[in-house]
Amino acid sequence: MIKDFATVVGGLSPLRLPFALNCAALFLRGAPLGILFVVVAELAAKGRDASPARLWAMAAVMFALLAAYVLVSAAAHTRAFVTAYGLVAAARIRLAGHLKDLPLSFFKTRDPGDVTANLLQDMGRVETVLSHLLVDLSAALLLPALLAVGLFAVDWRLAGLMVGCVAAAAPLVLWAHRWVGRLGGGHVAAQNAVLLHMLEFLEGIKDLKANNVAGARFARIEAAMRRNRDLSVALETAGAVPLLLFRAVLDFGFVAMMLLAVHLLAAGRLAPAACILFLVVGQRFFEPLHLAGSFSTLVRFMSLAAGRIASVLALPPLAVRGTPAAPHGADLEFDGVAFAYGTTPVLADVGFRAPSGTVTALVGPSGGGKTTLAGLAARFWDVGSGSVRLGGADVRDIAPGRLYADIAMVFQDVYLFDDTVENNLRLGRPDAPFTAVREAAMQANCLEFIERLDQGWQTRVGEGGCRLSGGERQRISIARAILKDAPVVLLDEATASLDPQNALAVQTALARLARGRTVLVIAHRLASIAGADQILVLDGGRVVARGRHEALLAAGGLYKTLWDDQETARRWQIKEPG
Amino acid sequence: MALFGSSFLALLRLAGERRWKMAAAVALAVASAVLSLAPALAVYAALALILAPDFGPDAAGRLWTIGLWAVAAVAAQYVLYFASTMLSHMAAYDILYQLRRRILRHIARLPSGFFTARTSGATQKVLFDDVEEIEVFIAHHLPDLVSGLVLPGLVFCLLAWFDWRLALVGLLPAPVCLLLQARAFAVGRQDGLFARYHDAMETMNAAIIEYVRGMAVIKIFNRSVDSLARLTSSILAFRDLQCLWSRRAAPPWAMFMALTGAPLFVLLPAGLWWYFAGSLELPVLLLFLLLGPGALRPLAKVALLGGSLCRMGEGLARIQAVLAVPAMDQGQGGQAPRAGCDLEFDRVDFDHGPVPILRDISFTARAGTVTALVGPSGAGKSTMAGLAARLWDVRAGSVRIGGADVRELSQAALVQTVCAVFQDPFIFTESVHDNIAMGRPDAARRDVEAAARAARCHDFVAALPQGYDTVIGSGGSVHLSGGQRQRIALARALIKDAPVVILDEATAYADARNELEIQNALSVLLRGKTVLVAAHRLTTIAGADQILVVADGRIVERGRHDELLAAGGRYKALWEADRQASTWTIDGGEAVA
Repeated sequence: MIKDFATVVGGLSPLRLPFALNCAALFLRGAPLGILFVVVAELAAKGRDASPARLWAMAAVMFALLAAYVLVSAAAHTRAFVTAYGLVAAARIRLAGHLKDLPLSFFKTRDPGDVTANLLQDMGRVETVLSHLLVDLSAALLLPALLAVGLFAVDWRLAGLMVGCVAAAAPLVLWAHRWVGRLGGGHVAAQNAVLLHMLEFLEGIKDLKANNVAGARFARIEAAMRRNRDLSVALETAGAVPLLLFRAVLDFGFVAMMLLAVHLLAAGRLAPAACILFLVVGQRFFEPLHLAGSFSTLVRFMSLAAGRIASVLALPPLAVRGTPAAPHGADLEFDGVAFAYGTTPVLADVGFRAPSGTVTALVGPSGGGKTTLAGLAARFWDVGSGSVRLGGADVRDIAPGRLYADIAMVFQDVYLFDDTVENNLRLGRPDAPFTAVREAAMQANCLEFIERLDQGWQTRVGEGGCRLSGGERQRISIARAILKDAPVVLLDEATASLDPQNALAVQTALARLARGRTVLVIAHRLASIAGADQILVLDGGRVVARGRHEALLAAGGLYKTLWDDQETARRWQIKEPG
Repeated sequence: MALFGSSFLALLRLAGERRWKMAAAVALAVASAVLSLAPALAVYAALALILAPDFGPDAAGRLWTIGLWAVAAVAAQYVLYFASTMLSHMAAYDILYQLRRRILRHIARLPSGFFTARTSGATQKVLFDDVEEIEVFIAHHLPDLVSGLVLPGLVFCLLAWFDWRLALVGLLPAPVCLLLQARAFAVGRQDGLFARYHDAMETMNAAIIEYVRGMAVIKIFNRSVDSLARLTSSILAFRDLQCLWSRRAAPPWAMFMALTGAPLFVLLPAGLWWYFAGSLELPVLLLFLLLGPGALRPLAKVALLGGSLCRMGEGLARIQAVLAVPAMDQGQGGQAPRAGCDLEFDRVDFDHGPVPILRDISFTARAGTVTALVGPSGAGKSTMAGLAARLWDVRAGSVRIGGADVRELSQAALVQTVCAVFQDPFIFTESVHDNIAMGRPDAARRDVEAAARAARCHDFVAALPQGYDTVIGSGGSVHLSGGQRQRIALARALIKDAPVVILDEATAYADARNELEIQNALSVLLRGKTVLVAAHRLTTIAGADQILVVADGRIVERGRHDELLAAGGRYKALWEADRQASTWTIDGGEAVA
């Protein structure tokens, strides 16, 4: 349980100092009870004949111990907090660093919300454990241990009964841990189901309303919410029953110890002072243990979060395979490439060569593997077999930084950072002089709209670029690719959702970007790639035909069918002119 | 405290009839807390017996009685506590459930403007996280809070009944405790630490979200080092504030915690004093030593509730803000005519907040004709389509179908009359059948299949593992391509067969084969209907009965294709751009076609 926490923060040894301070504080907290014993013993033995001077001295010592306790405990707390915050900050940075070294497929196959939750909420839970719970838990365990030692010295029978009682109760806490571990997972699943249904409801509300079935949808969400409610209650019950039983057993132990003490006293086998001591200190012994039960169950629950983080940290990073190689030139080659998502084959036996400075177009029905193929060139994934080579070097042998220096990409889903237009563009080449940035913007047909923005180049684009239109975002992404000036360009030519003027602006920008580079383009409109040097027709993950436009058209086959379909589609009208 | 009061009242209102369950849970928690004093009282009773001068063997039996009473009290304490926990959790989760239901139902009646103005993430946060915070409060904190306040009071009364002087002495550390607690919390106000802390946290959150979402871009542009550096600095800035906060708050907090145990240290000397003075009996002194030190401890729990209460208050405010958004009134009108539906815009104005979107839009789309909206993106085409489907209400003027204002039609009548097909249709996590039958929930499998055939879905649906019962959507096992999703949406529209069709031209990202299939399906759907289409590609609408050119929220040109082309205005410019865009080739040459 603690191991996952250690994995997440890279070892718990920095917590040793706060832990030691905490032990010292606990000792100072327990010691006055020893003195209390002496006082009580004195009183019980001598009654009002006890020596006041001696008792006052004891009281003074107790005060001194209290003062020392306050100081040490303040230091222990501060130390624990500061250490925990430092550890978790370092762990966040470590996880972030690990994330950037993972293959991009990790981010494509996982909900980005999950990944951010690892860095935010899950790390927050680890922090709570390290800063608060571990200290509290250790205090709740150590103080009784300390007291038990003292109590054994006074009377082993009573102390033995107390310790035996704790031993009898302890399995109940382990039982609670097991429940939390088991139901915790199911509970998370039920919560995710509710979240999914809610999000679908919110995102699909337009369709729901347009069909007047928003009402019918409630039945489904509500069923999921009811399941979540019932599971939550079940989880709480399952956790509460063993914990409450644990506490009840401890309380019964206290009462039993009390009865035994009184019995021994009545039988004259126990000194009155010892009896009083056990009655008074016994409570101090059991009280922290109640807390220990809940704290440790909470730590167990939080360890699920630590486990989630640890599982991400355990993923192997995208590494350079053998001896690092550097690309010579910008020829892109696929050689007998096969690739599968899990067990679903996506590409099989794909081989082609895209010589430097030429345009290679990928066409074919959706699901044919075009996007995956482009992703392999940028090493979003690693091939199952065969190899992808850039400038003669296997992409797996090229240091990722070096590889990405040579590749520019323009895809449909453009992500912009919530930063100024200029900084988003500069991403292509941070040290570029402004004239170069401006030139790239001009090439990409951005200049006009950028200068029309209220703060021009310094306008912030909003999260994901939401303050710009789709066409504007696309042009910014082209501009930054132009600025990057990489020899290989991977692009997705999709302008169908843009209005004609925007589409035209994007297209001319793309043409400027493609000039003189090795281009791999995912084509939707065949007319736009009719002049490509090489066209690969992909179907079912295989290259079923290749060649130039005229040759493919003449050969008939899938390309011809696609072309004819497109020509028919192009002429289609909502209403024939009549 | 004011915040507490208002949040609490709001909570009670939201809790509805479940407030009695909550009250019962609190009452049981208090009763259980009272019983938790039993062992200490039993110790007192036992000690009083033992220390009495006449203590003898006959008293031993009474000791056993005391012991049994203590056992019974402990058992009862836990039974009551368990009942309280169960009640409070059941009440809490039930309130959560009902509250979410209420918000969902309210949201369903809001104009669509609500959803475009805020991200679904923000609404989801209200529905999930903010509501969840209430659970924590009701189930855990409310019983703790009440018993945390009741118990110290009760202990004080009890002790005062035995010896009021010593009870008052036991209270001495309380003001110091409160002072320290206030100091620990006041740390946040000192040079704006609280605000800085929250800003730093938000900055870090935003940096993390951007880092993860932008990872593809970051890697492609080799910016991982910079981005990581930026993220790192935000994490470290947050850490520094956390540490600063701890350095300031931890000492008073530790002292507070230490002093909650301090009554022992004042009770002992004072008790000894009075004991030696002969005005205090030993059993009473011991009772004070037993109960006194723990009496203030529940205050610590109460102190920790401040943060939870704050978060719940903020969440409640957000929940109430959503509930306060006025819903669209449902019209009372009956059935709209099934055929012969003219769609009319009459001097329509529309704003998004303060931003004017549409101004003085008037046109009539005659039954059975096609009206196309063209113009640059952002000109207001989609908004006009949305107004016709009453996703929003006009600010001025009116939208009429078959002569009736859409605001006067009942939701059912409106939906039967108007069918909207949007650019990015949403597919729900459920079977293909249910996704299609959404257009007419009582449709039989036969009808669904017929619609699927007409929408050219049947072939790919039949090839799915469970055919029409295959679960699709983001939570399902099968993922459809964009073109397939659009065809499912068309099947939805076909099965509904409404006389007025609003269309956001929907062939983005589709490959040629898909596009052709979609067009075929559209041809079936649109036959004989009143059609309003927001068009991107002009070739598809060249044959429309009426073309409206929209720019900056106004209709700037209208007419048929040839007339508009001849007029040589904006439409001609758009047409030229469209022609160029469709003959563009990547290598800069002219397309072959």
